[in-house]
Amino acid sequence: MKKILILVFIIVCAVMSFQGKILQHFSGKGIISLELANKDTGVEIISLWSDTLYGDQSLLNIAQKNTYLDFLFILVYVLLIMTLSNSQMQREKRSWLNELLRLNLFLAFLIGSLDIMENIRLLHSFHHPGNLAEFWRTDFIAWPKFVIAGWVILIYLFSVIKGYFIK
Amino acid sequence: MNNDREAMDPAIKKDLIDKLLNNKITVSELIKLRPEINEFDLSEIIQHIYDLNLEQVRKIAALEPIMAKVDALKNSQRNTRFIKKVKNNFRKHTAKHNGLKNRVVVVEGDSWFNYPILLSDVIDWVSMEENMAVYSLASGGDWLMNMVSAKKYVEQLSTLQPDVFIISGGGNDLVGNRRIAAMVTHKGDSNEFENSAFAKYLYQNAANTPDKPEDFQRGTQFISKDFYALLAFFQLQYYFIINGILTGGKGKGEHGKFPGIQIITQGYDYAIPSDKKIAGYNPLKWYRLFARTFLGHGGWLKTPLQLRGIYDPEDQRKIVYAMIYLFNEMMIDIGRVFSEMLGENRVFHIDSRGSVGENGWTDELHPLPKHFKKTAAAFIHCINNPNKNGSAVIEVVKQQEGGQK
Repeated sequence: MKKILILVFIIVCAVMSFQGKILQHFSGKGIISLELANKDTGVEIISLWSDTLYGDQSLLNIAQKNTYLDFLFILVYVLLIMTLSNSQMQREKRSWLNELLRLNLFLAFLIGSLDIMENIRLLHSFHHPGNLAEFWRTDFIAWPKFVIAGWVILIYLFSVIKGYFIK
Repeated sequence: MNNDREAMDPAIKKDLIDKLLNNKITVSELIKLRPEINEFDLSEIIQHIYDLNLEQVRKIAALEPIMAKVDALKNSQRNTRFIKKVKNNFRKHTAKHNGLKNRVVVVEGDSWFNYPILLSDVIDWVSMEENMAVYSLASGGDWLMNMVSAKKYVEQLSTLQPDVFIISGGGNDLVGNRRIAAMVTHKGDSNEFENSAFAKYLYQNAANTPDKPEDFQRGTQFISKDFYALLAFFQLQYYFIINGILTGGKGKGEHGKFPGIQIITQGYDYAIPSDKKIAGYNPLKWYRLFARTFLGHGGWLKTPLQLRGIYDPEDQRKIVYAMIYLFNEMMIDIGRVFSEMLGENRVFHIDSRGSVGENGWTDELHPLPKHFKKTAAAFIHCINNPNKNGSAVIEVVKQQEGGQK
């Protein structure tokens, strides 16, 4: 199961990366810029995407597709974090680190939940380009999401690397 | 026939089994019955204890499909690691970092040995030892009865020829499907302990006297004859399993197919009946709330006792105290039986009684990972330092405090 998750993770990452590069290249702003933007900046970004064409669609269409794909990505990375953390937990002898890896199982669910809320808010804003009143900020969700994700990765990597040097 | 002697007259065997079921069997009768028991007898006895036919017993003892899948996944991960470890000349070498002899271990048991995902159970901690390769057959929720009848351990013992066989079973036979409700009486006036020669023998010859004798006495006042029948039945089951391994079922060491194998048992700690969901606000212990909300907390002990009209939490706790006390002494007695038979300790018991404490439980039946780790430390000590001629009991509490010799 781990191998399948990693494979799907890589594939989805690759597709979303490609979409992100298009947004960045043609507007100078990626999806993360929008996630972390305040209200004024956020409205500007969406208006810009709405007005900029990429082939027969706008950049806003690309951003919407990227967000829909993100729901699958959420499922994959949540399961991957849980699987990897659980697997590492079965090797981690230090009680405090064992508990932190166990906490990763809950934090994975939390990150996924925050990301889902963020996506719902983004999709709402996409339906109201240029409308300041209908722009729903996501920065207050995105920041904690990234911080927690960083923590989760740090704990996992710390346990793995420590395991190579200390038996 | 299990021994190289004439089989017991079936009428006598039936009479002894009837006595066992009615809590009237003497210790010497139980000793005579033990080597005569076969699987068919065990099956008959359990049907009578539970007042069910065999199909019904098998149905209630069967693992839930989801649970079975999750357990199988964890075992698959463990056993993949086992094969990877053992392939690299494991049996020939000692551990790189501490020089201890490498040991191959086969494990059969219940959720203390295979708790899905949330907790690091006893075997998780044992498996982390560099010098131990652990092959697991354990399944959370499994009954000792299933382990005996499925005999998965027989195949793996023959295939892997391990140094150690660890077994943990009986807990689910006692509390699964609310069975504990059938083992008690709400009146608090039971004198079945006095009627049970075997239970009294265990108490009088205890390896460790109860640290709370008044609690034990009070607890026994609620325990019905079915528990004592089950207690004797557990001993018959363990005897059947261990006798098969150590003596080929013949009662003599020279017939054993696994020379030198060390067998280790465990008997749980004093669980506390509870249906409380909240047990503190430590975010690192988030899994406690999850387990208590979604995984059956309260349904094994608290609810069944309440269903029988036993509402006082202290009485509930004392009932479980008495049961676990006797269960552990029964396991220790089995070790003594085989020590006498073989002239050395081959069956060891990890005594976890008193090690978890009131606040150390994830839920009604399962300790927090740090307490599982303590029990595991006792197992590890026992595997690395088998005391062939001294005490075959390793107390987790003493092991914590400063190591046992």
